[in-house]
Formats: sequence, structure tokens, C-alpha cells
Amino acid sequence: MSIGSDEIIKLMKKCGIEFSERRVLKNADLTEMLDSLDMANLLLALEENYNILIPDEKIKDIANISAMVDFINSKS
Amino acid sequence: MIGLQAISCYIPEGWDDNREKLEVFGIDHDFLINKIGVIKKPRKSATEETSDMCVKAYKALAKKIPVEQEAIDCIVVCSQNPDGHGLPHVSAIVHGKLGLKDRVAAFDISLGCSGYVYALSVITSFMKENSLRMGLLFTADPYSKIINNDDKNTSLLFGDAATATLLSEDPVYCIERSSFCTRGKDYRSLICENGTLQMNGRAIFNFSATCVPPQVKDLLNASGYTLEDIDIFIMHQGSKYILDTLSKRLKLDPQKVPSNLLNTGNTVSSSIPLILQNYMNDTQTRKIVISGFGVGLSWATSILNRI
Repeated sequence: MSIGSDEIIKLMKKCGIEFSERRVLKNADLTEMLDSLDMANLLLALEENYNILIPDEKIKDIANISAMVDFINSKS
Repeated sequence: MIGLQAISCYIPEGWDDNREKLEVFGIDHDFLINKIGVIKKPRKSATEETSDMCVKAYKALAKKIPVEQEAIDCIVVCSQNPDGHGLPHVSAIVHGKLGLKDRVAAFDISLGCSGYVYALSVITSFMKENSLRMGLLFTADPYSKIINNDDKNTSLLFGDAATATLLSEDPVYCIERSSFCTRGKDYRSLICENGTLQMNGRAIFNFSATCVPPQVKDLLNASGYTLEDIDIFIMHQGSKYILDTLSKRLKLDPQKVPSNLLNTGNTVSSSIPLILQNYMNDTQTRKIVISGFGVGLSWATSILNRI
């Protein structure tokens, strides 16, 4: 089953991350928008939620929500 | 029964103020307070050695309660930043500076943020096995010796401090049960290389968030307790973000998770006893969980019972 942007948004909220939903949906670069701690928290939540591994070198390729969604769907 | 009778600490008078680094590191006050959680960190003087910090923690202990120095028969120092190059062991230097008798067992334990939990278990077991009656456990790991002040990952976090815990047959708290874990394959995540501390922040966050809560839960389950049976959870003070994450994952009432990060920072193996000392005279606090985690990677949790 494929996921959409809304699942990622929900996960970010569940993690307690404060963010502009509008900017996220406009594909802002999350590594610039979030601080390093929130970014680490989000990546761990993605890994745990979708049972995937996100290596450090992959982060720059999935730094916006569209790329993140595509990456997760490609793994499931 | 050997257990913890008293705890004292030494906090150096020098300070390093994180507010002066906001611009250099491109961070704001909100991030500093709500994520890092450290405003200023104590810093030892350049000439002050690890053993000196232990001696000052002992002097604070002797002011707090009468310590019969002649009766001390065991001292342990937990540190990975010893005097000089670590030879001789710090505990021997402390033994000499305190002018203790020859018939004293003295050894060091090389562990970081899990060190206090490990060392408590080691010293109590060692004392019981060898019929020793009065021991001193010191923690002193001044990371200022290895911090690169230009490294945003580490220079905002770590503070210098030392603690002294008196172990005796007249305890306030005793260890009920402990759990110890190691993940050596990830040792490079927090490492001192070429004399400088390097930390992979994401790896350390993942490790803390995923390894510590199951250990705490498993230990409580194995002991027949629920989270509600514990009065206070003293977690290693890694950062405010880590503490908040652990509280959230364990579903703990934040009131049960004390913190002293704001003005001491992460003091490595001293972070747990620095907080624990505040509960030694609190007779309402019966059952405490202490949990340390960090370099190794290593994590350890104990349940302490008030006697």
C-alpha cells in the first residue's frame, strides 16, 4: 500500500516537531527547515514506522516530502 | 548490606556560557533552551586535574557527613579522562592525595555516561565479595580536556563535574536489580580521535531513543514492577531533546524525570549522582530507576530501593 504526504505530516506532528505545513507541502528542503535534532527524530520515526533503513548518505536525496514519499513507496 | 550512604559533588567555579555561541553556531535561544537545554557549563581550570576534582568532591562529602577516613577500604574512580595519560590510575593518585592507609583497594573503571550505574554495581559486589565495609566511588570525566570548542555537535553539551558516593553498611539506598548492555559495533559513533571528541549526533540519538526505553521496561518487568511503582527516573542528562524523547517513549510523567542540564550540562558519569544526591534525604522517594547510556555504545539501568 502506498503512502502520501499526509502520512508524513501526521508523523511529524506525532514526533512533536514544530513546522510550517505549507512549506513542507511546497517541498521545502527539510534538512534546512528543521534543526538536526528534529531531522534525526523524523528519520527515526520513518525507519520505525515503515520498517526501512535510511543511510546517512541517502538523506540529501529524500530531503523534501515528495522525495520522501517516493522513497518510502519504493521500499514497500 | 552494602549500599549508598551519601553523595556529594564538586562543580568547578569556571563557566562556559552557551549564549555567547548563538551567533557563531547559527542557532537561536529557543533551540538552545528547548532542544539542547544547556545555558552554561562548568569548566575546570587548566591546571586542575581529574584527581583534584575527586579530592574536592571528597572534601564536600566530609563536610556533609562525618567520614571516618581510617575506615575507608576501597576507592573506585570512573573516568575516561584521567590525569596525564592514565598511568598510574586516577584512584591511586586520589588515594595518595587523601593520605589514605595502604590497606585500601583502588582501581579505575573506564566507562562514560553508563559509568555510574556500572560502577555502583561493581563496587558493591567487590566490597561484598571481599568483606570491605566503607568505599568511595568517584565520577570525574572532564570532557573539556577533549572538546573542540568550535564543534557545534559537542561544545554546547558537556560540563565538568565530579561526585563522590560513600558506600557502607549503613545505606540509604541499595541496588535491587540491574541490566547492562553493549553495542560495540557502533563504537565509532562517540569517540575520541587525535585527542578530540567526535560525535555522530544522529547515531547517538537513534541509539538512545531505541535502546534505553526497552531496557528500562524489561528491567521493571523482570522485577515485577510497572512504571507507576517508580518514584523517580534519573536518566543520564544527554541533552534536553534526548530526555524529552525518552520521557515520551516511556510515557513518563515529566515531573518524575528530574533534570539539572540547564546550568551543568552533560557531565558524563557524574550526571546521575549529581541528581541522585538531591533524593538522599527525601524519605518519600522509595524506589528510583537510574539509567546511563553513551560511549561504547553502552547502556545500563538499575533499580534502587530506599532501606
